[in-house]
Amino acid sequence: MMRPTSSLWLADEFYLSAHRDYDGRPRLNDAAMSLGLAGALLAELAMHRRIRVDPQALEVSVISAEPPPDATAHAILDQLLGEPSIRAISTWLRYLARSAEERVAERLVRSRVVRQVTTGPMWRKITLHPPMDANDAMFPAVRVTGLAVRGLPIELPDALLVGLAAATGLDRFLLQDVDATGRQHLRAEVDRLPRPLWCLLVETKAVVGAAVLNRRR
Amino acid sequence: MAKPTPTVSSNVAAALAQDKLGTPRITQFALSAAATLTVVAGVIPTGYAVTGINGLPLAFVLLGVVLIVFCVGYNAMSRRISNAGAFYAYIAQGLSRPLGVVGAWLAMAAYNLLQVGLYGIFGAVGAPLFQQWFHVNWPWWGWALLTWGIVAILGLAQIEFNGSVLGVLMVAEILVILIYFFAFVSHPAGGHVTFTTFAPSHLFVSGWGALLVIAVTGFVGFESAAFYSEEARDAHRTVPKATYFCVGLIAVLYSLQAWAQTVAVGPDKISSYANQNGGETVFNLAANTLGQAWATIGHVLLLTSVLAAMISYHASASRYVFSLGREGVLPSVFGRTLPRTGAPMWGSLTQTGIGLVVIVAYAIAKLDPLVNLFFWLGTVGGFGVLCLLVLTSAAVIGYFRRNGGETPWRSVLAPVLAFLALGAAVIVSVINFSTLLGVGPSSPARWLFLVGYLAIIIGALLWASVLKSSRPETYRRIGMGVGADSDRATSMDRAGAIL
Repeated sequence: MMRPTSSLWLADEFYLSAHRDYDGRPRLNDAAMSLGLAGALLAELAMHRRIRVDPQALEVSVISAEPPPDATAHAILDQLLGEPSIRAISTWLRYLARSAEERVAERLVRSRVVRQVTTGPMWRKITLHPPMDANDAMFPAVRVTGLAVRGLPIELPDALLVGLAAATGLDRFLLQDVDATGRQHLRAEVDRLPRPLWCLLVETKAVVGAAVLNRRR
Repeated sequence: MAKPTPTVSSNVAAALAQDKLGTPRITQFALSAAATLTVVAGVIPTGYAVTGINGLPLAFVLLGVVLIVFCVGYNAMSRRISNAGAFYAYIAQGLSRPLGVVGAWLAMAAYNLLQVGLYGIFGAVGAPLFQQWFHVNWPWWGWALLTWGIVAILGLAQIEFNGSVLGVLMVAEILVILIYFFAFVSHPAGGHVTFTTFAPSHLFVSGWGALLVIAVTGFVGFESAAFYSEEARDAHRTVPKATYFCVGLIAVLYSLQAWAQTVAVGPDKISSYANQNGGETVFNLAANTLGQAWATIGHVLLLTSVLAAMISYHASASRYVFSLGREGVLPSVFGRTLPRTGAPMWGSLTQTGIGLVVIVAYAIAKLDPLVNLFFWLGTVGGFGVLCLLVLTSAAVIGYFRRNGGETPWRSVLAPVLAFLALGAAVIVSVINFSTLLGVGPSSPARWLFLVGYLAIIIGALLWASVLKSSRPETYRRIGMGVGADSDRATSMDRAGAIL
């Protein structure tokens, strides 16, 4: 389900919102970022009707093996196909989180939305993905803020983006220019999400919460 | 709330298993929470000084045995419940939700007291040291505020000591405790070693309940092994092993050290010696028997031990608040994180705020940092944990009566024994509370803390009944911690679940 307003996938928009538009450094801590991206990747497959979310058992299952129109989504679907006995949403979130950031960054590089930059001293090199156009990177936040402030109806992908932001703590940034009324409007829209997708977001929030309780090693 | 584990071997299971913790790591975390050198150099001598009773070595042994029996039921339940919030989750599911809320509030009070008390010993021991080393002359509260600031920043930055650094420090502390032990017993006052302080007649004297609380304060930290059951490699074995090892090691270390200190000074003089030397008791003994260098090493390790424990208890308190915020027992704003670091923001700031208020209050009131701040708050916190242990033993019995599936020893006999022993300890401690604080029986301090706990218990019960009538769904989720969100998902409790 590509949006007319943007040709970016949900995980891509989440990635852009979660990183600074001027240098590509993260706004969000690692655990929440990778889990949020994992949630987005699963939501993408659900929106493309390749997987089904069972809201009662909190499980996911593959319903169509037809390759999605994107290599990254295809790779994720393959992972799910390869492990049919693993079904719990939380398990998949934790597993996919391990490589989610890498995969989504690579997709954004492929579509030339970001470029890859290696920086830092010799003993501590890090890879960043600053956006090619900072305006493009800010677009999701600007769009969502505009809709919220004017109380306009919100499409499914944007509601999911807001929900993922709330589940990971990114809403502090994404909705920083939204007032209480606007927030209330967004809340109502997120609460109205189709049940399976809503469950996916709530589970993402639960797993992010559990990660907060984990001790750093 | 059983934890599903994939029984088929798979890439996913293998990958996730890589991040899991083994027994050594979990034991290490639990022992750092126990802050061994802080107890040996802080709690034990001050205990002698304040209570004037010698039976501390035996108290540690007794309590060690009781806690091993307690752990039998505790571990059996940790195999079945997945909630890193531990105590209150067990109590909520084993006894009742209102008691679960009581457990949560008691735990928050206890861990906060334990944490804030540490500022006292850092200031008391650090101030003269730093003056000697760096010629910087600050009062105790100056150093306390400095460490307060460090803990506040690290709390929001979600930084704790690196696991390996903690491991090295912990081993060093234990080595120093052992070295001091051998030094003390090889230089006995009066020329020969006496075991009199182990005699029951030295324990079961008037006021001995105080020693039980002191001993519990020393053991606090062992329960944190169960908090890692979600991340443990093989939770059914790793966590129990770590818990038993921790209790056993602590019991041996502390009873030997408590005894050794009486040997080096003389059982009849330990109380006055500890009174005179305060926080330097152990280090003066070390200097006399081993030389100044070893005393200095001990000083440095004590300060790092205290700092590590401050950070650890700050994290525990923050995470409790976070869990309760996610459940809805506390306003949901407490369940929010700071995006850049993932820290439980309001949980951390709340604990930080409490610390500041207490340090400033004690500074203004010119109270003694070692006795009034460290020892009082630390042991009162320990008393809170003792109450939690009693409730948890009862919860184990209640849980297995409802759910079954365990041997009679684990599900009935051991928890009943633990409940009776720990319950008796609570009663005796309340009776002897003035001895614990070192005040006269008519002193207001004696009742102040007890009334405070009573107020917390009543407040928690009231709050639970308010929740039950005004937000029954939230009431139902008491004890679920961060798992409450999953419950919201399955029970379609939409309103504001995400945003």
